[in-house]
Amino acid sequence: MAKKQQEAKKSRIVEAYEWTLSRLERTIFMGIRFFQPKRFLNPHGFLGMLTFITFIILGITGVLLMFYYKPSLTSAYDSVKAINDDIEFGFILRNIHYHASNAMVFLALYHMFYQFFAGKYKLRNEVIWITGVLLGVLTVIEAYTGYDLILNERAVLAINIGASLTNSIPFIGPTLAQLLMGSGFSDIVIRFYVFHVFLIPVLMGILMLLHFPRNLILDLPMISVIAGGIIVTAGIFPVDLGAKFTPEVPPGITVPEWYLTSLYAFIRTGIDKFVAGVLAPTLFILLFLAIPFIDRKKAVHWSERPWVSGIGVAALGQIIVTTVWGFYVNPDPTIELAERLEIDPLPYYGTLIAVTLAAFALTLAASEWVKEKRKKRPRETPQTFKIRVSDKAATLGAIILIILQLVIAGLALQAYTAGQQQLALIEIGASLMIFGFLLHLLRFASSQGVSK
Amino acid sequence: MTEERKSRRSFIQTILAAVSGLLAISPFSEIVRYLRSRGSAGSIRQKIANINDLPPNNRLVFTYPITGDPEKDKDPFRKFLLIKLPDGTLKAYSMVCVHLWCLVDYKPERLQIECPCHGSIYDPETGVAFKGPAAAQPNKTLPEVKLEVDENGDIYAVGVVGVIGYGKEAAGS
Ligand code: FES
Repeated sequence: MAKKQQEAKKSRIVEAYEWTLSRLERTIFMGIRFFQPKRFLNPHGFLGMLTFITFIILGITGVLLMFYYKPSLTSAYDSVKAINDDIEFGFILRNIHYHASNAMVFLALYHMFYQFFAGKYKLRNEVIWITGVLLGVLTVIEAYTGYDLILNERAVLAINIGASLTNSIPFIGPTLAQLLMGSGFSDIVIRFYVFHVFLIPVLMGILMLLHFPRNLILDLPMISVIAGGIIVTAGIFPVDLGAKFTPEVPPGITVPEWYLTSLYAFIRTGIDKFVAGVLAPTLFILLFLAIPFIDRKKAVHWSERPWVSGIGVAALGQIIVTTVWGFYVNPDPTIELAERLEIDPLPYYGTLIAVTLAAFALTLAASEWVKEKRKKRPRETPQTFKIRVSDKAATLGAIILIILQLVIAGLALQAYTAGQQQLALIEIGASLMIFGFLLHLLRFASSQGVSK
Repeated sequence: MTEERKSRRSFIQTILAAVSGLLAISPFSEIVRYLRSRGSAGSIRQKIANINDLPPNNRLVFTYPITGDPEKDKDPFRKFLLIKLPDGTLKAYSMVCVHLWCLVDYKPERLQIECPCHGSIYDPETGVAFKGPAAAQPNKTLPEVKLEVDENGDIYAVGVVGVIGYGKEAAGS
């Protein structure tokens, strides 16, 4: 009897749900199908979704930061300082925003390389691939315009490099720089603000419409764990404010953010700015855009197309070498700063060539070896987990996790009111991660259909 | 009407529509003036000082173009040096070092323009850097302000040669 009643009740909810769904079918929204996996999936398959989630986190925290940030030459730095030091909860939001931006650049790159080696740009996915590469470029530009808004020494160094690279473009450079940046800092800071909070995100949104596949994996447990992980990282490594840019005072040594140090390294080798900072990266991006048209074979596995895979490994190697090198500044304080920043071109380009050659050699050798192996042993079906969790155990586990969350939430509040904001961040993130574990535990149990 | 004529007609119609559309939006090309943001259009004539305000081997700092907006007028990109060399010649340069945008100044005791940040030194007669990191760049000359002196000895700035923060070498103004 009770059961029947419950069913009737449930069906009314289901009815309402289905009513809404059928109306939503009239909208664009239903063109996308969200798929919630019933078991653990390797996140490599949905790194794009994870990148998108960080984009959403950035949107939410970014909008909130806009309430107090002032895009002006005289008060930009002070307003960020106020957000960081004085305004309630500002420290938390700023650090989540900052670390989500790093996570987004990293996840986007990771996503791209994974899809590259998996040969996913084939099979009529060319448009998805191209919009993806463009989205990656926009992600870096978006992050760049973001950290410039603080107008600290690091920001002004980055603005300076960006301006001088634009100026170095033959013929149109100086005009283009002026059209983009106006006539000084007060213009630059407002314009970068407009780019950062509106223009680039809107462009990214449009590109996303052309990038998202019809079927999206919405893995809530993994999303929660990653989001929580970003917040925990923010708590462990909070970002500093840096020194305010004052043009009368010699600045300390600053290097750009990690996703731009590779560019910085090229510029510091002393070769022509345009070649190092504009032409080289543009060619690099064009190569990636053209990959689906270079690699026209049907083969998808990386070992079946060793030369293309070699390009990927070489690119990865070059990115790592140049990024790390970009952080290097000669530590000897007796020589002049400009000299300390110089990078000797011979070992630098030598290393790059060596890395490239090694990458190709290794990839070709490895692909031969893997191909042999694959021939001998046809694909094994992967073993499935044999661990069983009963419903009862799962419920018990969930309750324990919720109690844990309660304790952590209490601790987080306590830490926050005690002024220990870092600790609060770590605990907020941890609680979000536990939520992810709990969701996974529940789906794991229910997917087995075992009840005891 | 034959198929061929039909398609020719629709081709001509497309061309006409495209031409008309381009004409309709063409006045908006002047938007570049909006984007350039020079304070106001063209080269601005602005009085800086009188020739008697400044003894030889001395300098003064001026804001150009002045906007009246205290925020904009504080911008390093609007700060310039008016220098009277020992022989009485007048020169005016952007104060923004073409290396990394610190503010340079004229040092009468050493007869040179110096940057406080990484030791770039500029020749006050030409604005060319001859020492320090700025001298090592291909663009190493401070953008120069064109000056005019009228019969009363009033000094006017009438435009900038070069790109501020980047150098006099750059095309455009
Ligand atoms: S900013 Fe002038 S020497 Fe570096």
